[in-house]
Amino acid sequence: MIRLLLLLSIAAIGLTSCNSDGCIDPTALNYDPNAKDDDGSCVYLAENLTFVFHSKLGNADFAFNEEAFTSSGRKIKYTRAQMYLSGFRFNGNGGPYDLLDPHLLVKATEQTYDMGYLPLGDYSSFTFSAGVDSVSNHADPATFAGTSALSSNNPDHMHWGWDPGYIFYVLEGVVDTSAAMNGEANAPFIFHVGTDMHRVDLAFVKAIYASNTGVTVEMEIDWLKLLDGTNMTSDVTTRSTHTANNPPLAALMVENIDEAIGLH
Amino acid sequence: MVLWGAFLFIGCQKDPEVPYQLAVPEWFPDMEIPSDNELTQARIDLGRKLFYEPLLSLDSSISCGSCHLQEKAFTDGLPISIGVEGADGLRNAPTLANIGLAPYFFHDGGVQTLELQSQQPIFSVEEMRFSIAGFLDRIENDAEYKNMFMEAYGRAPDAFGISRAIASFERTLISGNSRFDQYEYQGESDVFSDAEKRGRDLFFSDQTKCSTCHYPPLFTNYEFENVGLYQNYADSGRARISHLSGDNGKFKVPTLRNIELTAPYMHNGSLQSLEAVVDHFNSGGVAHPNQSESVVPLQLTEQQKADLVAFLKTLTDITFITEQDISDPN
Repeated sequence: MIRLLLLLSIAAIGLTSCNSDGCIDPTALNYDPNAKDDDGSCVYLAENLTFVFHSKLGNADFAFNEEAFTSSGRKIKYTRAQMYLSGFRFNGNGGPYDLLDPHLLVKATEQTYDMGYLPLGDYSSFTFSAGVDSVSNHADPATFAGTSALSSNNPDHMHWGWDPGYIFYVLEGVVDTSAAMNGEANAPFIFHVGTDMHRVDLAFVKAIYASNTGVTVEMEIDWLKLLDGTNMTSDVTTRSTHTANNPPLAALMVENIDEAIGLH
Repeated sequence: MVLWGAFLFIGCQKDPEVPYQLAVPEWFPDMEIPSDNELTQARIDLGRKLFYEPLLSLDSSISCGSCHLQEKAFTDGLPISIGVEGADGLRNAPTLANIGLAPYFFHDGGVQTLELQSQQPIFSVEEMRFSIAGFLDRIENDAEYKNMFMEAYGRAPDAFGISRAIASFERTLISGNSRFDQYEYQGESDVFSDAEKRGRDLFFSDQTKCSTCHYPPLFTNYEFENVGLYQNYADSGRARISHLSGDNGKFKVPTLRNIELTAPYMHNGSLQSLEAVVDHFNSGGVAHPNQSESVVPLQLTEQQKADLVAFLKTLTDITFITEQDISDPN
């Protein structure tokens, strides 16, 4: 945000100078038609920063109501799978650069997300968090712009309605709870996990070149991996948590996040 | 003559941006109003319309006013409130009398602002089970709403306007004209019977310590207390927010204003009458480890119990429950 404002103010200054060195490229943000010689100050925005999240169930592509087996051998089917990501930051190229709208709601059935703009150039790594940053997490959802993933105008937004804030991760579906693990997946599982302690800060080392034809970053989320370590039985505490009412199960799921989210 | 007439005409026009003057009794604390939601008549009018608007619920059957009925001092007379399609709620609907003076909301204090609280029941599965986006679709062609939002907040209908307007209306829900107020703050000593005077003195005595937590003028200290209802609480109360075992079974100290009208009592409506409540406190509770130090056996006589109940009934404010400006306009 600060960087982008800095870029825009540089551009403003550039456009008002006369008869001096400056940026002489007409395609640059700070093109100065009065500049005589190029001084290497040209800055450009990449258009169309796109993130593609390939959602998976292990090796298979994600689909609702598709049978899959957890690490403990239980058959499951997902009916709802979405999470908040926040704080996208790109390192390198004179940065770090924070995206103007830092919040994203990723749904397992949607792959492609328009993330706005990134200054042109080479980046070495990027970071984001699974979950919502703590400042936003305690803000009033009605105060976010209508286009924000956190706004209560957004029909998909997930919030508990009180101060623990947003529900970061929503995993819902059905599971086979039979002792012999040979039945139908028909008992509900529900993971609604949030609170500041369950935000997971992630870092990815990847060379990215943002050009003026756009840049795409390909990621993967393995929703099956998120259920690693669970053994969901007829005991509802093994398959249902709203975080405050079942902290251990919430923590168990969150432990899988840094392995479940990765580069494609 | 013509100029004088013109001046009069200008003076009589209602200016919707003129700040609204809240009528708070002088013996009440000042009400803090957030700077992004100053009170105006336009905001209050919109908030009142939304407070009583059933289109905010999934099947258009329930508004805020369905669980917060003016004639019951903005409660609903049920142990646990009921949501759309007969959904079981979680807790007893608390009164909204003087809610603008509270530092937090819900029985567990989980929300710090009225503006945030007003959104929660809309989304809650057990309550209105709907969404702001869905409501905005329903009023897409409603010129009256569009005008009201524009006049109140200078914007098209959205979550910000909805939450701020409802909060503004709720700030006008002021109850400070009970017989207790007349007796205690306005020197009208003949409005109390002898039983009520005895009950008042007992309420403020060291023997009962009622006023330790329920002290005037608001009859709450806004702390969280465990009053020893159960050995094992199904609803952990404040612990749900703080995750501290020492908060298990603690709930907000409710105001006692209009308590005659807001049965049944406790976070889960488990006590049906004021007599049952007095009996509970007289018994000293079940000695839960987190129980308040003030909740101990009181050894009240039958006369004393009756006097206490008589006193509690003096906290009823008839003007509050009949005031037209805060009633259901539908």
